[in-house]
Amino acid sequence: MKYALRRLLHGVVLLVGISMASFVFADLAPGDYFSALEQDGRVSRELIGGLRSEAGLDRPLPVRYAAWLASVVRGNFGYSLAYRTAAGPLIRERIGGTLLLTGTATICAWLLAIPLGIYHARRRGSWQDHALKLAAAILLATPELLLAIVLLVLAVQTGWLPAGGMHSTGWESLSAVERFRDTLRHLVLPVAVLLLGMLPVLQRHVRAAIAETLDAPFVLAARAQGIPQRRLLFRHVLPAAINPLISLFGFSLGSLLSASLLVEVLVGWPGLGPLFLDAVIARDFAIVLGVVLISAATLIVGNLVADLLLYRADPRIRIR
Amino acid sequence: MSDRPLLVVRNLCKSYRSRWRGSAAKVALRDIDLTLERGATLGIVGPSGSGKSTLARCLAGFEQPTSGEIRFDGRAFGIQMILQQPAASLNPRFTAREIVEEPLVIQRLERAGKAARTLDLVGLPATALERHAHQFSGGERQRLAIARALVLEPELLIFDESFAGLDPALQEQIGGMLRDLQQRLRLAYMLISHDLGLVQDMAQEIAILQNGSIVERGPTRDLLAAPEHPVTRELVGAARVLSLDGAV
Repeated sequence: MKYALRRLLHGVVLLVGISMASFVFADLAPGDYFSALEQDGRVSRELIGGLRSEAGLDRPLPVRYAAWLASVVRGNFGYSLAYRTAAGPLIRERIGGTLLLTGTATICAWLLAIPLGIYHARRRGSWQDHALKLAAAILLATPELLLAIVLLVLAVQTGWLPAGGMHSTGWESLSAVERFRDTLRHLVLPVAVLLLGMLPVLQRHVRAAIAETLDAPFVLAARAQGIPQRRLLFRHVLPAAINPLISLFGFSLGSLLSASLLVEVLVGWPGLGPLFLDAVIARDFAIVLGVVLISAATLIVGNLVADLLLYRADPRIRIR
Repeated sequence: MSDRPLLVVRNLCKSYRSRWRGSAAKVALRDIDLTLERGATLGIVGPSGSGKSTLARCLAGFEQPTSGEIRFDGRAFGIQMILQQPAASLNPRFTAREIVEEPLVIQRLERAGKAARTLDLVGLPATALERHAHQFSGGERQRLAIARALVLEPELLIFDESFAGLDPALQEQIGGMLRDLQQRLRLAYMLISHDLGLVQDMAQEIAILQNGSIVERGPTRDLLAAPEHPVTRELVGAARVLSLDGAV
């Protein structure tokens, strides 16, 4: 319990640090939301200056940071100049879409990676091992962008899958079952892109962890006792190999909000991705900072969850 | 109890098929003959690559000999092996109880009270039962590895380089415990090492292995006093230098 509290405190300090750094960096970036107006000859300098002071952009940096932080604590995450409303609700509205996408992809990736990695590790040196290695290397080297475009082209050409978005038109009039099926059909493509991106990495880590444990002397000792394969795997090998996988799982959790930003933009998925991209282009910093801060918080929480799981899983950590 | 020897090995051969077709198979063991009586200790000594570990693995049933005969006049699981680095052969997540009971669980044998009794045999207190493997000292882990082998009530224990790297005081301690166990349980030991000095105090008989063949065999005292084969002479010389080092 003390361990958990210490880690939590550590996370909060880290988050405050990240918020300061990202706020300062956003401020250092040239231009702001009103810079685009300066290109327009019809708008006077005085008017732009008035808009800036109205938005409070002329206040000193520490004051603006304090005001923003207070707004974050209230859940408003500052004021979005583009949407003329608090950034918090805008972000919250989009989080569900992103989580649906990344959550599905992450669960599928892990469910596939673990059996594949075990299979891989137990056939080291065989042709299946080499074939899997090659496939993983090719997938690792393929950018998500290319993968998404290829799949999109396939979807359009064949007409098997919708080529973008989360719902078909007229979704509201469908029954609950049909809505579910429609969303599922829309999920397939972006999930496939994310899955193909995650799988080779996860699969390789699982293979490495299992392979290392299979060579451990205590596994040989267990084999020497005539242990059945299944018991060897579940009682000796998996528990011993789980530590690096738990850390990786924490990272998976932590990237739930950030893994799919690019893919969302490509397939027009109504998640954080398009909102974030538009905000960056428009220099609508409240939304940019809000998304960055929430992603950072998710990453910290993911790592915290991993640490607590490790603490539970390994007696050697518990003793210290 | 029968008067027949516990273990008789006749013409044991083991060769490994080559990975590449056409090239010759690698011969690891050639016509090995051995006899081991109940309660006796046999030392197998040879340079690295001489086939010691292969012999141990064949006897323990990890590997199938290519030809020859192994006659063991004992019970199933009567041969147990203590691996190299016994301390590392303990699952770090298991408690001492789980480690010692695991062979019983696997063989679906009665467990009640066995773990505590077996720990007592190797000189570990019953309070050690719930401690995790990583909480034991090096010597205690050594004892725990021996306890795991003893729990199936074997008649022959094979030690494959099990004491290499232990400090001399610890070797002395474990050696004393093993002699004590041998008398109480009438255990037979096979001590495998590249170092003659490590086995000469315990083994009544020693066989010298080189390139997969036994090149010399005899009672320990005779072998040390009058080594005949050049390999034996070399091993005896090395052991003497080491013990002189210890004396100075």
